[in-house]
Amino acid sequence: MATVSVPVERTSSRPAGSKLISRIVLYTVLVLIGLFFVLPLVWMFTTAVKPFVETLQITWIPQEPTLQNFRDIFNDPSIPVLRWFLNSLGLATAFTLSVLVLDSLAGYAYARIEFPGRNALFGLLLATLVMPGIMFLVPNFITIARLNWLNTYQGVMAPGLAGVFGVFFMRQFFQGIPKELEEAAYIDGASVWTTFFRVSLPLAKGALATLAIITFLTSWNDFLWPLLIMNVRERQTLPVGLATIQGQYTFDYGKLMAGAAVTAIPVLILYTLLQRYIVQSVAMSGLKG
Amino acid sequence: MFNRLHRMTALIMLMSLLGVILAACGGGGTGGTGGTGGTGGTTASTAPGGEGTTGGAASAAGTTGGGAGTATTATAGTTGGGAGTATTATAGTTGGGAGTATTATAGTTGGGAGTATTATAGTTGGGAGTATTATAGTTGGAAGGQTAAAECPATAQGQQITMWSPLTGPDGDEMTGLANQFSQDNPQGIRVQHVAQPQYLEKLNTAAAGGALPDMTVIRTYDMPEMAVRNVLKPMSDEALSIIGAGSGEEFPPEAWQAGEFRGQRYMIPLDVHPLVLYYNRDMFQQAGITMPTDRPMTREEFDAAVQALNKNGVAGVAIGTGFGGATLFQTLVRQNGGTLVNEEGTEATYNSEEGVQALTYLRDLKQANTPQVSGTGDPEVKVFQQQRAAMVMHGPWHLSDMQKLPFVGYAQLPQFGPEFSVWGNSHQLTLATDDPAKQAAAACWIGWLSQNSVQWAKAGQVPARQSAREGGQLESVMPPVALFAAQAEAVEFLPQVPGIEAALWAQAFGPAVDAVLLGQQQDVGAALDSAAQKSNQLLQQNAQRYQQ
Repeated sequence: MATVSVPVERTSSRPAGSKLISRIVLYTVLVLIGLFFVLPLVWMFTTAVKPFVETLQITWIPQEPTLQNFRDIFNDPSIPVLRWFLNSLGLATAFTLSVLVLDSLAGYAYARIEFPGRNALFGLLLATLVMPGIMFLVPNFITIARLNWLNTYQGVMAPGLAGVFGVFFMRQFFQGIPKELEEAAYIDGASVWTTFFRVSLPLAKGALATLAIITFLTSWNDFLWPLLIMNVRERQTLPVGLATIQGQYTFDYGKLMAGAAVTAIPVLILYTLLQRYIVQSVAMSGLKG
Repeated sequence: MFNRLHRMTALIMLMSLLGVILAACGGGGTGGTGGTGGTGGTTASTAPGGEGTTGGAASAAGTTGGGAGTATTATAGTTGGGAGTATTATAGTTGGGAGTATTATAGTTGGGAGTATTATAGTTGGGAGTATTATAGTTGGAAGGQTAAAECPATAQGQQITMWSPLTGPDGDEMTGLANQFSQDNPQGIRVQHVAQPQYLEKLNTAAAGGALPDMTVIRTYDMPEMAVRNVLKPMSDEALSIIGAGSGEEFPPEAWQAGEFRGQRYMIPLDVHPLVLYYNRDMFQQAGITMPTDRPMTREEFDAAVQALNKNGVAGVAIGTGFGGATLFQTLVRQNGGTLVNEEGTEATYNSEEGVQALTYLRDLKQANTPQVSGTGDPEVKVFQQQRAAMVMHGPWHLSDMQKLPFVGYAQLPQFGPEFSVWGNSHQLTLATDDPAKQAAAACWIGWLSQNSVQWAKAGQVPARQSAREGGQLESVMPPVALFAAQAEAVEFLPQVPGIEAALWAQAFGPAVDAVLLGQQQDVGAALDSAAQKSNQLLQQNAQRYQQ
């Protein structure tokens, strides 16, 4: 909200009445835009607490709110939702940590360390971004199958431990940091490692937060890859598991939205916690997650 | 504002997470009738046995028989059930098991006797003596220490079978339950693990590429030929077929059975058939003074009169949708008018006939007079009906579990609009993805058992493909509406099994054409179907080249 006040300040030279009007207009527009984004969420949560008959209508307020949909999901022994939840949480966290470490190291190397073939190698890396990810699906699957890693967590994780986008993103960021800061550290006798950890990385907090969010969300929402790798119900992730509780041809919107709510909560919490970093880094890098 | 909302909702959700741990309750059991069992190998006598006397048979569904001795469950026999120490004797018309038979299933005259543990599906006799499994004998099992017909071979002992299926949701839970039951009960120690897979065709394809296929799968009828050509699915060996004991399909709707064969080899055994059905609003029918016939489909005149009477006060007489709903009704009507969709070889589309034009014109007029606005994915016509804004809807039986939550819903067969009675439908079929003989044998034991016990599958809303599961009044006790739908199982017509035929006819050709006509975007029905048929023929030709033998 803090960034919003900037255009308002500019109108301060005008008379008080017109200032009030422009404020009213501005906030009306902002509220409308806000509603546009928040209504689907509201619908999700209200539908999740509606009994079946009410889910057939489009109404905003449940007449007889019930937790039946959540009970259906959590009570059924054939639906290990909590286990799926933990699987998703564990995998997303592990992915995020691994991507942050590997991508920031690689990005720093491409940005600051001179080595033969650096640009060619980086070009090659970028070239893989052009290819649609789905192309790697079968080759990756065959690799994992040959390693006998089907139905294992490492099988799900292996192909995504580092991401090309993250490397690119971190490299761009490190290049934007004034070289003089690092040179000053070298003059004081710091090694490459020390410079990286003490000078460059702390400056990149915002970028790391952005990357963390993007990675976490990608992993949290990923459907196809975990679906392909995991055939054991207890090891599936939340999106895959929840897809299996919907019928082949039928949708029980109440249950569906209860599942969606369970999936959305960690993301909402994460967003709330990291909101400042996200806004900052979007402003800084001009990138949106 | 955002922050607070998120925190509040998060809090609510966390509370609900904590507040939910309840025990599941078990399903009700089926009672049954015992009776006099077969006496060792010969045909069973139709001797006495009264209405579940000593045998502890609960609710008696049979006409003459009752259980005697220590039979614990004897179900639905017309004359017989189990006697002696039989524990389960199911669905025999005359006899069940006797002696120490533990399961005697579906014999028309006899079951097992002696120490038979499973005597299945004999038309006259089951096994006797020390037979452990007597399957599918047409005239009899064996007597005196011999084993009967085909049985689960020693190679199947202790095999682990993984089965994938597209059966997500409640259907999948039923299937998992059946798999667990078989795994527990079968004396060979075969274990079946069922995994329901969303997007299962993609899964199968990728798994095939990585050499990580399951041993068997459930598949929708028209997905089989392409999968067979690409060697994802394997033909069933003669041994497997004899273990399954389905003979030459006498017990299945002929077209559903025929669909399991491809290029001279059998790939699939039908599990169920799911035809279109009619859901109607009983309250509205009552208020309008219309009675729905229960023993036969409505005639076109009755249907038209009902639609006209009910189509008032903002309520539609019938909800007609586009997409799946429109296309399946179109197919039904073409065939009911005496037309066909494609020639017998599956090489040329024939739905752009006079019957086709009549069918689509009728459907369009019906939609325009009732629910012109209803279109799109997610079956909005079903939602309109469930919201009581339409008095009838014709759709798949898989809506059954949702419909049963609504007290006003009545169930009926699809009306007969034309001279023939035909209903669009499809079938889930059981198929093998392994060619290892031991695995095939073990999978066949399970398929045979599942087929015998497929009456349980009706709980998922599907009509069991096997006749013995559809008849004898068992469906009424498991899922009454399905018993009504079952009358249509034989009326389902299938397309010739040619790779990619369904997409070539439907998804890429008459599907869009039917939608355009129904929504009034295309006025000339004949022209719409002609250009769709042209597209179909082109695609069928391309497929023929791509998948040639």
